Amino acid sequence: MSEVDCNVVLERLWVFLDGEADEALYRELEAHIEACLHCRNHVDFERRLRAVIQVKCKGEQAPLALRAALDRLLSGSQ
Amino acid sequence: MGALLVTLDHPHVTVSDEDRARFEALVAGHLDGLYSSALRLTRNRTAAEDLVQDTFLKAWRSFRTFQAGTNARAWLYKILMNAYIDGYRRSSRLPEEVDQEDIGDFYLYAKAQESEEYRKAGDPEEILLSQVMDADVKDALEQVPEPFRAAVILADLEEFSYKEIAEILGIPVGTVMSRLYRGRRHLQRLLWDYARRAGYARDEIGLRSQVPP
Repeated sequence: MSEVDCNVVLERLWVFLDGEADEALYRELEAHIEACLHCRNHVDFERRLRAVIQVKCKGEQAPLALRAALDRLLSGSQ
Repeated sequence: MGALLVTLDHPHVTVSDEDRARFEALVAGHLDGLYSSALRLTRNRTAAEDLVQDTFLKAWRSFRTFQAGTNARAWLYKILMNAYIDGYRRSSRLPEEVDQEDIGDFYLYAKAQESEEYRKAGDPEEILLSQVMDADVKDALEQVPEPFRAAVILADLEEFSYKEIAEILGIPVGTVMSRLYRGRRHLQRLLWDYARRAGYARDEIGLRSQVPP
């Protein structure tokens, strides 16, 4: 077992949040985060921040002209 | 737009109705997502529309080589990203890679925690998140320089895996990780400024409304 402390969590924060840590690392990070209020709050904050960024930056509706162009492409290429 | 469509027809290849239906189902389902990403990349509605149209034209042209059962969404985003990067090259507006100075780590969470002002006001994280909600997050994201912005869009908005992003952008996974790291650090720095501005604006409105007429 390696020593996972707050610095290790910070170094691996994105890998952890992105679900890209391998299983052994994930478990070690998770164990520390569960036990450490500071890290737990930070991880929680990053998750909520990402949710806000998604809500604010996604969900654009493609303009009708674009859908029409797609229809034209598909009906035109016989 | 019409003229462009004609040049893309392949006179020697017959397209089955089945192909057409499959393609339509595939692209129509991702059109809003592609457009959202294109808009964050190009920062301009007309350019985003052109980019998405270019994407599905190119996708249609190479649809025959597309294997059913492979990752269709990643395939479409790869075409989108290639078209976007080609557009940059053509107009010689090369993405600036001017992030060389070491500005160290930047975490919004740490900034909120360190701020005396936020602490005094109560729960620092809650206050900061509500200011981010009020801020122009789209604009902040669009200020993140390339090539970091593309990585952030693919990971944080489109939720692709590192491996998928590596495939989409044609770069190694290690490069994906470093671009993401820098892009997110940029974004959090920008959000810190934007959120605080939004916070001040709200406070001023609040103060004014308390002043009796």
